Amino acid sequence: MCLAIPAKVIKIENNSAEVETLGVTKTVDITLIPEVRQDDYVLVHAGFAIQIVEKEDALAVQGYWKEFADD
Amino acid sequence: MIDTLQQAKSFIQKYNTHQPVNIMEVCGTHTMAISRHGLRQLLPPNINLISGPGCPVCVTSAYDIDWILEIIKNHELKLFSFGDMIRVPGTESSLLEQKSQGKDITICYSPTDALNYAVKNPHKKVLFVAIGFETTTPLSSVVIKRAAEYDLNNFFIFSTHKLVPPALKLLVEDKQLNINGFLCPGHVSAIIGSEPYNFIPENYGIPCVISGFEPADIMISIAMILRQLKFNQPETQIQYKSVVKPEGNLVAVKNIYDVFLKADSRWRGLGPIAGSGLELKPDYNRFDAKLNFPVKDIMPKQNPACDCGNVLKGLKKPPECKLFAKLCTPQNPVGPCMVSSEGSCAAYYRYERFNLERT
Repeated sequence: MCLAIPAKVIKIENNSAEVETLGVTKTVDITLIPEVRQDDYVLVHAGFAIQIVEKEDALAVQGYWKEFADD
Repeated sequence: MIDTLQQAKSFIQKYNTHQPVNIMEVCGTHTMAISRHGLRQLLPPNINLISGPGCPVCVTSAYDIDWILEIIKNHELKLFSFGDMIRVPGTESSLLEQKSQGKDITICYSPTDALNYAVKNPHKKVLFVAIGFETTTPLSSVVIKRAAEYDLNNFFIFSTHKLVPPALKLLVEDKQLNINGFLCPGHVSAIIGSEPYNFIPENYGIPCVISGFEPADIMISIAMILRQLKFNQPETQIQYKSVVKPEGNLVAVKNIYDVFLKADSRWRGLGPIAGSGLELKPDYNRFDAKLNFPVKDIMPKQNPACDCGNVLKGLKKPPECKLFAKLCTPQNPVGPCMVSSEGSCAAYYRYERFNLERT
């Protein structure tokens, strides 16, 4: 339920951002992190970016989730 | 990964005093990671990991589920819910059963799916089952604010949102449990930060560590708890620093309390807990399903053999329930802890069923 996955911000438009994670692109709401900028990594939960994440950690966690998804 | 895990194991050995230690993880994703990676088996035998009430689906009361079922029985509307929730049995039925009988129920990924549907279908009443801890609540807040901006009169939420710290207070005060440390939830803490846990080390002398989700993160967090215990310096520490800031996400917290007020809430297994739930502020009453679709005389009944209550409190481990892996399986769940993919029973069933002699 509180699962959240890191993603890279590709493009920002008003309250929305296009993000990419594990090769999948989607649109998320960025109302909760107004300071976010293009190329930042964010934590995505149920269609919303909820926190900015450090890049190296984001990539490491993405690896973990890929492994989890492949399980 | 192996090196980091080995390093974490060496820290655990260094700080282990060999006294019995009960550590509760309070997040369903931690529960799944612990089971999936066999972390219990990597720990010294004196360290006991207990799964707490960290799955919001699991702690949703049968009373609330019965209320939602009554609403869809008596009103023509379209219901949106996160996936796990629709399989949780109420007294006589579940949302999944109602869907199979023709009720208009859609599984959604985001609360915005429900809002967007309501905007595009002004003549259809739309009900969103708002479930989740502090990670999910600000999303509901944003959606409610937008519903107000759009002046919608066909959008409703049924709030079962819950707050983690009041439940932790109940657990630390439970003498039966004797918790010596908490692995605090990573993504709840991304929103609320570390301060709301401080009463636990300060008032009860119990260490709290906000942990990430990789196996090494969890093992290092356990070592941090052991170090605090060894040197008798209980505090709230953040292991998951890449995501969790001490202050949390202030915008998200503001959004929560712009829209919601703290209220009492019924938890499955734990019972009613004062100030542990969230209800809409009066300004937003027109979106409140509980006010707009009242029901009478809800008398929920649960299978008396189902031990989810004790599992959620950490008093029993899933295999100690006599229904576990017999009458109750993920394919045919009796209780919510087997329904949710983050439930303790589902985690044990999936990953630890054949390894139980070690747990």
